[in-house]
Formats: sequence, structure tokens, C-alpha cells
Amino acid sequence: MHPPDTVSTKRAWWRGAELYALALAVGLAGAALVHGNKHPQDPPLALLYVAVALLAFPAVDRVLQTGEGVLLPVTALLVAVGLVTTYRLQPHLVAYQAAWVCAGLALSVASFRMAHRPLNPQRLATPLAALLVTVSLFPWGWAWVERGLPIRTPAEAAVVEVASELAKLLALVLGVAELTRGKVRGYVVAAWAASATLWLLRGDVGTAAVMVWVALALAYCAAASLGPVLAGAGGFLVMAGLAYATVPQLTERLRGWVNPWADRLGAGYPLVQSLFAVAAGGLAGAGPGAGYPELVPQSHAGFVLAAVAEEWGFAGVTALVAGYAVWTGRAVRAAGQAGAPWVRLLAAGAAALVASQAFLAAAGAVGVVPPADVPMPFVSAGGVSAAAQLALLGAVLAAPRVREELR
Amino acid sequence: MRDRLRRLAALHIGLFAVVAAWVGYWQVVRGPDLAHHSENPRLLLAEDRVQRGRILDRRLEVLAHSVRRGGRTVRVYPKKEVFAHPVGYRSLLLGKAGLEASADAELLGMAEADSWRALRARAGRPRRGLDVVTTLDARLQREVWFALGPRAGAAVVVELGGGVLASASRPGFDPNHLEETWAELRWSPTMPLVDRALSGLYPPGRPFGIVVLSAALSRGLVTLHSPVDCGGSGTQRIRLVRDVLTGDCDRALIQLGVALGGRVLREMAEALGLGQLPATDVPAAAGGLPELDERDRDALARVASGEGGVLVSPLQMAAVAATVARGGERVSPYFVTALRGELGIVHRAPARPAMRILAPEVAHAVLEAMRVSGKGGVPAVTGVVRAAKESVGWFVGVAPAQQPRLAVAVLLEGASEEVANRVAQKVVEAALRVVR
Repeated sequence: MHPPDTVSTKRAWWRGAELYALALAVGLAGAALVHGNKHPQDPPLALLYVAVALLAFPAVDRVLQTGEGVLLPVTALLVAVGLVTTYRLQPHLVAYQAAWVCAGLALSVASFRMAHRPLNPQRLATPLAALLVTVSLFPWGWAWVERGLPIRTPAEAAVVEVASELAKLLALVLGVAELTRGKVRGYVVAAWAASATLWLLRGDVGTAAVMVWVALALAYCAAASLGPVLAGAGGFLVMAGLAYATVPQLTERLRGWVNPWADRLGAGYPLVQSLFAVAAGGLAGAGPGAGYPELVPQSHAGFVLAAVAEEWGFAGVTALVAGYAVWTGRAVRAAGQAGAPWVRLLAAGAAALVASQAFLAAAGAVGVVPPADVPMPFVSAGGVSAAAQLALLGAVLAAPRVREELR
Repeated sequence: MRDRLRRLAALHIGLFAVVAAWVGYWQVVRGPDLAHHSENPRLLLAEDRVQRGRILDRRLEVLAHSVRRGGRTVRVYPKKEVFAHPVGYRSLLLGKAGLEASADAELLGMAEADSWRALRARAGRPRRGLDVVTTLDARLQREVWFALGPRAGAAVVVELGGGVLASASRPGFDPNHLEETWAELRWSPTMPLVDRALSGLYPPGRPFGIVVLSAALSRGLVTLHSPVDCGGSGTQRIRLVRDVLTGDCDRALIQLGVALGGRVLREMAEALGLGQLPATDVPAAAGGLPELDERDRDALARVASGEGGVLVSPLQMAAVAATVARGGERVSPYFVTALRGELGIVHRAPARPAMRILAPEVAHAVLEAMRVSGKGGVPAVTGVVRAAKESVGWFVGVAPAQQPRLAVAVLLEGASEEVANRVAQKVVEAALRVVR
């Protein structure tokens, strides 16, 4: 065992509580406004779920004694926004989401402790891959491989979501393992071959793009030369072009992105509705529960930024995006403080995983990049992705204390 | 590796900045025009939450308001068919028309004018749209409506500032029961849904002589006292230009038009607002002026007599008469004077800049000719003209005779000049009672 030895962990309990208090205030006030505006007849149970999920953060902070005073509270803030928008758009999911957040926090405690052991990430890859295959072959899991099959049931949706998160985690863990052994080129090729399969078989743009993004970020951090990274990026673009040209639903989506106004009721519909929602927000927003974000397709998932923009305004979007920027900056900083290269890679990869998804989801909702159905980390309804990212957060929090090389 | 980590973080944070800037562009810069985009469903949906504003006449009498009935909001039109055309209707099934359509954003309180209302909306309280105050006069409109009688037709009363005091069109419909009667109204051969006052297009006939005479006097082709040949025989053959609008001397009017040429006629007609969208705040038809070959004297003669492809609406003819009565300054009709919020008036229609179309002496001369031709002491031009299926009778005049304050246009389908004149006299009487 290697006990934490670098950071002084003795602090008065109220120190650093301000950001948690802010997250709790945002979550409770937002949920209360939504409750008053949308569901005044129901009992305000959602407030209880929000409070439980948000109070779990300082509890975990107290257990882990990380000494990192920003990452966890900022995550709590993002989760608070997510719980409020979920309550706004998919009220029946808010209890699940709170439960997933608590589960994710438990996973983060586990991964925090695990990162202190010189565990070869390759050993993690095998169970992850086994899990992914199991989930994919699960009766409903065929939705994952069958291209263009519309998702019909919540069970199928959950399976697809779990499989997507597992694939991203697997890409990250495998990358760390391969790159610590110096196998840059092989890993980049493997990553984009895997994501190419995803694109062409399932048309799942989001997962594929995030996998390649993380792979390239990892390769960039690990490799001495830019060559493989640029080659990987070029290969990705070629593959993207191929996929957009051959998979019909992607061609349609690309058309709706290039000029959404030309086909406002067809391919361009989601983006045009999203822009209407964003525009309706103005500077200060309509207020939680007072806008019409339900008009935007997938506004609880991929287009959640449109919902935030309409009801919280430009002020809210700026705060949300700034939250991701701070999160990314602090996570990369934690990676830099890590003593062991493999932890450094893991934390940097985790930062890239969260940041790339936040960027793709936000940019897709306003048409900077083609909409890709990427969940907004910690915010999108459902909670599976939040749990996966909270599990990674534990490893990031542990990074500054890990000095041990892999054996 | 530390440098690379730093660059990795910088790349992602830079991307976030791009997204924030892009969202800001759509929210703050493009926000207002997207909010009013016709395909933005928020406008329609907001109606469930917003108490739609009222439409009021110039004395704040209610022409349209919303009441709660059996759990849903119903739009009620207390004046029924009398105001059906200018006020229009609003139905989730059938859409909107008239002022209900053109002042929609204001009625819903979506207009930017009332920032106090916007602040209250933030506080989550129920919202109220703005009341639209119109130039219409409920009493006059009712009298005009009954003066028109059962015939198809229209009448417009405009004050010289441009405010429309009355705008009635027959046959009408009851906007309170629109959805039940829609199929019948939609396919009725009398076309009750068409607002004949604003969108009915007819050949103007002799009243187009106002345009011809204005052009001839402006060009210095003739003066009021120039002799003209009215044709026929005897003492009535040679008359003065001031008599050309009376109806006994159409030949001279046509000769003036032919002498002026198509280009000049067209320019004058356009300057007076014919063949153009009226600058009004309710949708109205533009009408048409034919392209003319200068050598085709027959076509020119038909145009000079107000036929041959000239199409105008009663509103446009009222505006022409008002322009003459105002001493040559163009009159653009409008319906909305002000918007009222809960704290009082939040917006007033801006004063329209006066644009001179005719020299004052020309306008006075045309007015003099209208005094000569008018019957019953009202300066006016009457006429009857063959439209698509039947003749239509016209009356275009101003009142009172000395120092006119309003312009009136009356049109009756299937009626003679005399009938149109008789109806118009009643309209003018009622209108003079109102402005007095």
C-alpha cells in the first residue's frame, strides 16, 4: 500500500464548502422553479433527489480527502444543472439520474483507491472488453450493431448508452496500456479502425468521434513526434467522409447541417429548432420551466445545450461552458502533477474524454459541427454517462499522488 | 509531456470559447429576428400562456378580446360581422387574418417595446399581451356597414392624416363562429372572406379621372378654364376643364389622357399609390397598372377611362382623394395608433413624413373639379364600370366641401352610379357626425 503522502489533508470541515453550497443552491433553486412552473401538483420529490445527489459530493470529498478543491465541486455544479434540466424535460428520469450519480461517486471512490496501486491498465481492459461484448450480445443489444435500427424501448436505449460508455472507456484504458509500452502507431490505427467499424456499421457518429479524439489526444501526449497524430487525424477525416457519403442517415444529417434552413421540416429540423430555442433564451433566459425546450428533438440528451440556452440564457450557457473549461484545465493540471507516466496519460485521456464530449455536444447543438448525439457530460439525462465520467474522475483526483511506476 | 498537456488543455479551452461565442451570436445578435421567424412555433404556443391583448377602437371600445370559457381561452368579437374584415380572426385551426394577423406579435406581447412586461415574465407571473389601439371608430363602422345594405361592396373612410376611421366590406361573416361556418364561407360564390375594402380589386372607371386631371394640370397641359370638346352637339359641346369629372364629358377626359401618354399617366398613378402596396399596417392588395405602348391610342384611351387593366382597391381610391384634399401631400392609410400595456401607452405609431405629390395649386384645382362634379354638395367623382361579371358603381369623394377633413370611397357590386352615390351620402353624413 502506498498511502497518500504529498498533500496535507487536514482541513476544517467548512473550508472549500462554498462551491458545494453554490451547486446545491443552483440545483435546489432550479428544481424548485421547474417544479413551480411545470409540475405544481406533484409532490416535490425531485428536490429530495437533487439534494441527495449533490450532498453526496462533499461526502465523497470528505472520505477521499483529495485536497483538490475545485474538480469535485465544479462537477457537482454541472451535475446540478443536469438534474434540473432532466427534471424539466424528462421528470420521470430524475430519480434514476440521482441514483446513477451516487453510483458514479461510489465508482469514483473505487477508482481513486485503485489508482494508488500499480495496476496495469491492460488488466482492466480485459474485463471491460468482456463486459462490452456481453452487453452488446444481450437480447436488446443487437440495436448496437444493427445499422439504422431505430431504438424502440428504454431497455434498448439503456443498452446502447452503456455499450457506448464502455467502448469509450475501453478506448481510453487500452490507449494508456499500449502507449505506456510505446506502441503509438499500432494503437492509433487500432482506435480509428474500431471507430470506423462503429461509423459504418451503426452510424454512431458521436461515440466514434469521441474514441478517435481521445486516442489522438493520448497519442499526442505520449508520442515524441506529431506524425502519427496527424496521420490519425487525416485517417479520421477520410473515414468521416466515407461514412457521410455511404450511410444514408449520416448523409441526411450532413445535409441538415450544411444548410438547415433549406430543409427546415426535414433534415434541418433539429438544428433549426435548436437555434430557435437558443435564440429564445436571450441574455438572461426564460427561466427554468418557462421556455419551450421540449420543441427541440433530443433536448434532454444531445441537444441539452439548447434547453439550457433557452431557459438559463446566455449567462447560463457561459457559466456551463466555463464550468467545462475549468474542469478540463484542472484535470489536465492534475495529470501534470502525476509522478507515473501511465497515470498522467490516464488523467489526460479522461480530461480529453470529458472535454471532447462537452465540445461535440455543445457545438453540435448550435451547428458548429454536425450534430452527433454525444451526451453532454454530467448534464444529459439518463445518468449512465455521468456515472462513467464520475468513475474516471476518481482516477483524475488520485493522479497527483501516484508516484509509482508500473511493474 | 508537461508542455503537451498544457497545449492539450489550451486547445480544449479554446474550443469552448468558440462555442460560447457562437451561442452568444445566435442568442444576442440573431435572437430577435429568430424570435419572430414565421416558423418558430413559440409564437403560437405562447398564446396558451399569454393573455392575448385586446383590439380597441379609437375610443377604446373593445373590438376583440379573450375570455376563459370552460377551461380554455376563447377569442370573442363583440361587434360580430361589422368588424370582421379589418379586425380579422384568430383560430388555431384556420390561422389568422386582418389585424389579428398583422399585429400578432404585439397582441402576444412579443414586441420589444414593453420591457416592463419582459421583466414580469421573468418573475414567472402570468403574462398579458399588449392592447392594440386602432384608428377605427365603432359607431361610424356600424353606420357604414348598415349604409352598404345587403349588396356586395365596400366602403372606406380615411381622415387626411391617414387614419382609417371605417373600413367595411359586404358580405361579411361572424368571426365568433368561424370554425363552424368555414366550409360554407370558403366556397361561397359571394366570397365573404375577402376584404373588398383592402383586397378587392376593381377597375376604377371615371374616378380614375382624378389621376388624369392631376397629371394634365401638373404638366401644364391645360388649366381649369381651358375649353374642351365634350362631343355631341349644341351648347353643351364646348365646356371647361373643370367640368371633365361630371360624367357629361368623358370624351374630353379620355383625350387628355391620350395627350399625356402612358408613361406620364403611369407615373402619376404610382405617385398617388395605385398599383403599389398601400403603406398600411394590415395586409392589402397592390392592384395593377398595365404596361402601355405609347402608340396604342385605343389602349391608352381605355386606361384614361379607368379600364383596360387598371385595378384598384377602395382603400387606394380613398387615399387618392385624401391626397388631393390634403393639398397634394401623399396620404398613407394606417390602422394602428398605439400599443397599450398595463401601465398605459407603451408605443405610438410614428408620424409619417409628408411627401408632396401634387403642387398645392394643382391639388386645389382638382378639388375644385370634384366640387363641380359632386352631387349633394359633396366634392366627389362617381362612376359605373363594367367589371368581370357585372357593373360596379363607384363613389370617391371628400368631406366637408369647404376645408375637407376626410376622404370616402364606396364601391358597390351590381349597382349603378346613383345607388353608389346614395349610399355614399349616408356614409359621408355619418362620418361628418363623427369628426365633428
